[in-house]
Amino acid sequence: MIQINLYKTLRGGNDTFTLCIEEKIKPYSFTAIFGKSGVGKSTLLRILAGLEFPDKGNIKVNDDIWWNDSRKEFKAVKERNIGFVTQQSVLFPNMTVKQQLTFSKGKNTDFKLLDEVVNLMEIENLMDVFPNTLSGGQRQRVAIARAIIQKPTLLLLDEPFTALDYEMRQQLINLTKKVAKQYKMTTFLISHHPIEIEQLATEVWIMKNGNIVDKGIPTKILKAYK
Amino acid sequence: MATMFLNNLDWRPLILTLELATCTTVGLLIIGLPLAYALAFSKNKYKVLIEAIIAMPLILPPTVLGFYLLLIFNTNSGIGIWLNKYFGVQLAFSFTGIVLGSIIYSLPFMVQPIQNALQNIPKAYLETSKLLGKSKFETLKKVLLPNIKTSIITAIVLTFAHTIGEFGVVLMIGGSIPNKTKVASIAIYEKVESLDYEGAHQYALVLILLSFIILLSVYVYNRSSVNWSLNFNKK
Repeated sequence: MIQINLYKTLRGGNDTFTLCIEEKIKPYSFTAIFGKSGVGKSTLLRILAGLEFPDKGNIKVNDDIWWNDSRKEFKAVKERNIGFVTQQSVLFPNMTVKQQLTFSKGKNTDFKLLDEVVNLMEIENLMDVFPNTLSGGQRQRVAIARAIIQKPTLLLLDEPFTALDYEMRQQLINLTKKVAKQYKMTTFLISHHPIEIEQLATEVWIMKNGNIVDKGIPTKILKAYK
Repeated sequence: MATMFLNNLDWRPLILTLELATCTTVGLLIIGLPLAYALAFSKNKYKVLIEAIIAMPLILPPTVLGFYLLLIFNTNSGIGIWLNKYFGVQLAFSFTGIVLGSIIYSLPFMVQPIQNALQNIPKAYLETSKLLGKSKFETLKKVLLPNIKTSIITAIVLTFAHTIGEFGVVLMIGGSIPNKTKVASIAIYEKVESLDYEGAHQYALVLILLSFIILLSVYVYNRSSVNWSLNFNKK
């Protein structure tokens, strides 16, 4: 179970608003976050990853405290085991695809899982290639594969399909769906596309000015937004 | 003809120059890398003071630096006496002294290119490395250094080349002691002073050739090496 109670003052244009999230998330669920730009979606994921701090609150993941301001407890980013994929897939320019995939765990990489994910993502022919020769879709597949091979506690996807064309997007959505189900990962996805969310998520949160204003099963909740 | 031209050349000042440049470059690499890293990522508001101090040799006359180093390290000063008594080290008019002076004088040539390169590394690389469970040291070793390789090589070569041409600092702190502190630039100065223009030409032409080869190799290397960060931005 993941318990999130966090508050952070954010600036949106000329105004300030408070990101205020109080939620409990079931393990292995796939939660989509839907809302306009600048409502605090990415900040929420960055706080979960430990890349930003809330002003107050607490985050508890499977009885493990990741953040508690009153007890001054903080779990370091590198100890959280987060798989994070953003719109601009961040691949290290000096490493081949294989080196990117084994960077996290080195010799302790689960090579059986690596082979499975590589096949699933259809990147087996790219293993010795450097990122500067990859297309946008290939880069994103490598970034998602790298995140999964870590066996992350949380998989955070911040608009990972936005920069891709329709065909590539569909292909990656299907792959992500398969992977999330197969490897039982608790996943958060930020997306502006209702259809994408319906295909992937078990629950959707509608965010407005830092608050969750509506939530539930995507097909029901997103009717109004199509 | 070149052999004839260089026939009577005393090679010792040139060899000493190369030794000085090598020691200075190695010393500066050891000091400069951690310093550049600290300056690139420090959020301390007083870091501008350190940056200004490091950059001072760029605008300060070398004689000013050499003059104060001589005052600090001469055998009659407090520090000079202390170093001599407890470590048996004499910095004024010694090879160690000119290495120290060169290190201080060439500090910006090593630190600034590396610091700039580190600051230009996209923040996303650092965050991704952290998310993948890597420590700061592992990130430095496996992500940062390989991606700023070109800048490190440029800094090494610039420091080496700059030390070859040093004159003021070396003369002030080291004087002109053959085999000890008399480097090629000082040898040229002495040849001109004694109106031995042929001798001055010999040293000068060797230095011109050496400097040209060093700089040419940097430009060739920079052209042929892949600029990783640009590749990142293109995608």
